[in-house]
Amino acid sequence: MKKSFLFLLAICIFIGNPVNGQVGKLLNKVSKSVTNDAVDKSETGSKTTKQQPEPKCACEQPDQIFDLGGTLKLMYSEINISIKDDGSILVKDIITGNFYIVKDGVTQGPIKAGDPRLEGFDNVNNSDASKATTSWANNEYITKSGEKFLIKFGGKNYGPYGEIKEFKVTKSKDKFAAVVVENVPVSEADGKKMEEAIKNAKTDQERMDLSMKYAQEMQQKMAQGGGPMSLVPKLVTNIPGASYDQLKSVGGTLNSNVKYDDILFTTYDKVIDLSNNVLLTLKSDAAGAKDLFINTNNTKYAYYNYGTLTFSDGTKLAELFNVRWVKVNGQAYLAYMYYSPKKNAIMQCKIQF
Amino acid sequence: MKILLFSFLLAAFLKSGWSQSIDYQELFGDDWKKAMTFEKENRIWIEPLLVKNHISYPLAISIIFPELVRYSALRDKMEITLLKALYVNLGEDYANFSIGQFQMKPSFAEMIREEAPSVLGHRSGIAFKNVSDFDDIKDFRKSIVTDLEEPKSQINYLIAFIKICQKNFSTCWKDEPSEIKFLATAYNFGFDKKDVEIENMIDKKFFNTKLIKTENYSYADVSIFWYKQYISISNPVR
Repeated sequence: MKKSFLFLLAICIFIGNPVNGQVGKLLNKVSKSVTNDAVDKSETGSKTTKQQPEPKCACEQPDQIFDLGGTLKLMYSEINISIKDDGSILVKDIITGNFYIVKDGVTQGPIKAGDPRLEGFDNVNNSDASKATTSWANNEYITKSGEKFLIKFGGKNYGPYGEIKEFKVTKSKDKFAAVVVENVPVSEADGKKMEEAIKNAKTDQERMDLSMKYAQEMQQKMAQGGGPMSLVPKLVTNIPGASYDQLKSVGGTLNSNVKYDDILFTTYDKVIDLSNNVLLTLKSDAAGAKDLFINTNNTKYAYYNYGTLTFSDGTKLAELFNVRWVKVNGQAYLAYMYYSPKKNAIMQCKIQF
Repeated sequence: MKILLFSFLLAAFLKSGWSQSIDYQELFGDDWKKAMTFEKENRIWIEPLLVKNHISYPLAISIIFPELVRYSALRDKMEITLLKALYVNLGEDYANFSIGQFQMKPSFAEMIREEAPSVLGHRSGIAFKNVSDFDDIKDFRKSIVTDLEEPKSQINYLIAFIKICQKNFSTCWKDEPSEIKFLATAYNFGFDKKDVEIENMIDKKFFNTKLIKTENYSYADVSIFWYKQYISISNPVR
């Protein structure tokens, strides 16, 4: 009885869940270790790894820009690869620590840290940097004369202007356009002084008197500086036929990147030339696009957003980056880059646009 | 004795007042507003998932709120196409970067996937595929990137993160704000660190929303600021 009971118990234990669970665990362990081995193999021996397909944006004859197989490594911050507006890429030798600049497939270097050629690689698309340029301190075409600004372009002088609101130069650096205000009734320094004085006034009457005094001074300055029209923003450019008029304009900001070697105004949903002609009206999906490109005939446009280049006919190219204009044999092309798993390299394609 | 007590109270007051003296809502302006809008618009689906997993809604949102602000500030400047391709093909050693609304890194997601089974039961409704479930490591990495680009799957990583931390570090916290400070720091600094290391990082200032770094702030401080705002709106003083 006792023996048979023990035997029965042993059988129950053997076929029961706890033992099965243990076997299961054991099998899991074995299968896991096998799969891990397989994974490890595929990871270490890159030749046995299943190759990812080329992205759909790959073209038939791409140019190889940068081979990632060597000791040179791309420089990237947490969210950005160091790429300049002209398409050059910053890479670093992981052994020596020297930098190299790769442009159009040609590697320049070694470059030591602190070299001026490295400037501009660390502030890609920084809106704060663009805000900071309103003082125009580092602009090679703008100088300050007293409280006013002067533009010197192509050997000619323009100005002086009380304020330069916008300033753009084409890629070929032969055309420029600026939105300026001839006279500013109150300079930034004066404004601060007035604000301070009004803030420190002890009575309402004192505040009122100061306001009246400053209003009078501003009126006088306006009269001396050419009247109220001198306070209206106007366009200054060397582009022939430009007739921008702030009062008739639908607004917009100057853009030297939307069309190859040209400067146009872009609004939320329109592209306008400097003579106030609407060249293109964007569909709702493209409205407000930051990186917009229009072709030479003003018949098509494309916009880039988060890795995808979308054309006005609805065509989409995905998994690409660094879209910009290039000129080959006098013809404008829209160039873009992508990563090729097949070559382990960054490649570039060009579309005639 | 009285003087000593007064000095002690004053020091404590100054200390607590110091860390909470910045008005982050004003400081981050529109980016804070956008993050608030995201929180309000998505609460409808986030809260039930947290409740199902017995996690306090303000606690979970406090942890990720600074990242929502950062995402709002940087979203137009992000160019992660190449980084994604590099991570999928070459792994985290080559490119480890923050993705999506909650700004999680692939390395963080990889660790979560590894540790989640020990804290998430079937009832959680959350199951992650591990590296062994894929024939190719690149497909595993692709699945991580896909998950991190979608808030509805990112929330699963947040739930798992909280559960893992509650299991590993729960002895450290005396109340919900202390738990938030700790978890927010672990979220930002790394939950694979020791509790002492995380505690030491709580007041350190490493958080910013700029590409070119200017002033840094304490991540946990930003979290607590949102939490206090949320609590004061939810339970107004009568």
